[in-house]
This record gives sequence, structure tokens and C-alpha cells, in this order.
Amino acid sequence: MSGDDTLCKVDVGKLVDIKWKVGLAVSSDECKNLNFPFVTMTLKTADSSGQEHLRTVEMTLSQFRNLSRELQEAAKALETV
Amino acid sequence: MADDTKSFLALLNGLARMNYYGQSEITEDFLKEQIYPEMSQENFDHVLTRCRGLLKSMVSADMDMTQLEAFLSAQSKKRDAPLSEEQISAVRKFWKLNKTKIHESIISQTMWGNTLQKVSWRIDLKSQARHVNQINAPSAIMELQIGETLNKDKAADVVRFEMDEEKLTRVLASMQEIEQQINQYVQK
Repeated sequence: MSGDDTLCKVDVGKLVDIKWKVGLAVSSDECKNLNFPFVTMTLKTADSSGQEHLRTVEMTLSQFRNLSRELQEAAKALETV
Repeated sequence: MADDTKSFLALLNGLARMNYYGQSEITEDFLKEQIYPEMSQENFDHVLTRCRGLLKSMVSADMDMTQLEAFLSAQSKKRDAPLSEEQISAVRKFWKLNKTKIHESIISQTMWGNTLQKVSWRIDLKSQARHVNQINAPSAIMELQIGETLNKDKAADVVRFEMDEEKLTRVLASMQEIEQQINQYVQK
């Protein structure tokens, strides 16, 4: 993890909600036959004062699968604690 | 004649590196010097334009091998500068090796918004908490680095959040649902 020190000092927010959509990129100026799926996610987090924050992020298929794999790993680790 | 295949292949590779693999230090002059040092500038410009055109058509259609054969066959019958057998075999060889890689590069260049650059996580055990029942409840802390693809100089934003086991289970269910939706498109 990058900067474990800062992580301890900051107030880590809680995840409130995830909204997602799966899109299909069809065509572009460079490639008429683009055809790739992508995932867009909006993360709603809340800090300790209850203030909510929204962040939106786009992912290619491989980026999404990487996120999914990391979450599964975290879940496994959480179970063993 | 085999040399013709080799040079044409080298030029295609050079153009791919220049245009799709982010090696912007490669220039046309460099390609001429390395591949066709004896050729006149005028002739080189012709070959270069030809190669660029071929590459553009193949990339734009993301041609599969059947489409490629039909395309190459048409190119070999053109009245104006038809492709030679050697050049055709160079293009075939090139596309076999680069089709997927180039398409992937096009995909990542087409993600213009904020994309997920790095995922990290850590498991924490709370030793102190406002409420007694939170003590010793493990939680997962996620750190996502989110940055603009087209603006690499800008530092990525870092989003951190915490999830308990129940939350994480629900998030994983969403991930599975997304994966299922995606598979409907990918398996075609």
C-alpha cells in the first residue's frame, strides 16, 4: 500500500454505496470496430462527520477484473482475521 | 526478395511502435535511416504512405484473419502500386502478432475520463472505538488511485474507504453481477 503512514493518520471514510453501469464502446475516429465493454462506477463515501463524497471512475475490462480480484483477496483476508 | 519482406515488416513494426505503443521518440527519418538507407526520399515517402494506409484500414476495422486475406487480395490487384507477394507476407506476419496488442492500446487510449490506476487494501483491527461492539471488528481499508488517462502529469487522486465484512460481501455481489453483464458482450 502506498504510504501506510498517511493512511493511519487520515480519517478513513466509510463506503456508503456503489452505483455502476456497464457500457459498450462501439466506434471511434481511430477504430470503427471498437467493441469493448467498460465499467463506470460511482463511489459514495462518508467521512466521520457524516459528509458524503462522490467519485466516479471508468475501468477497462482488465482494470475492472483487477479490482474485483483485489476485493476477493481482501474478503479472504478479512475472514481469516 | 526475402529482404523486401523484412524491410516492409520492419517499417510496419516501426509505425506501430510510433503510433500505438507510445514510442514517440521514433521518427520517420529514423525509420528511413534504419530500414531504407539507400532509397530516395521520394520512394520512401511512397512506401511510408502505403504502410500508413494499410495500417489505418486494418486497425480501424480491427480485421480478423479472414477479413485481412480479402483485404490483401484486393490490395494485390490494385492497378496503382499493387502489393507484392513479399509485402503481403510481411503484412500477414505483422498483423498476426500485433492485432490484439494494437486494439488494446486503442482501447486504453479511448478511455478519456478518470480511470482506475491502482488498487491497494489493508485489513485493520480496531483496538479502540467509540462503541464497545466495534472493538476487534476487522475491516478492510481500500485505497483506489484515480487519474486522468490523457493527463499523465497530473497526480492521481486517492480515494480511501473502509468496509466491514457485510459491506464487502455486498460489494463482491455487485462485482459478480457486473461480470455477468460483461460476459454477455465478451463471449460473442
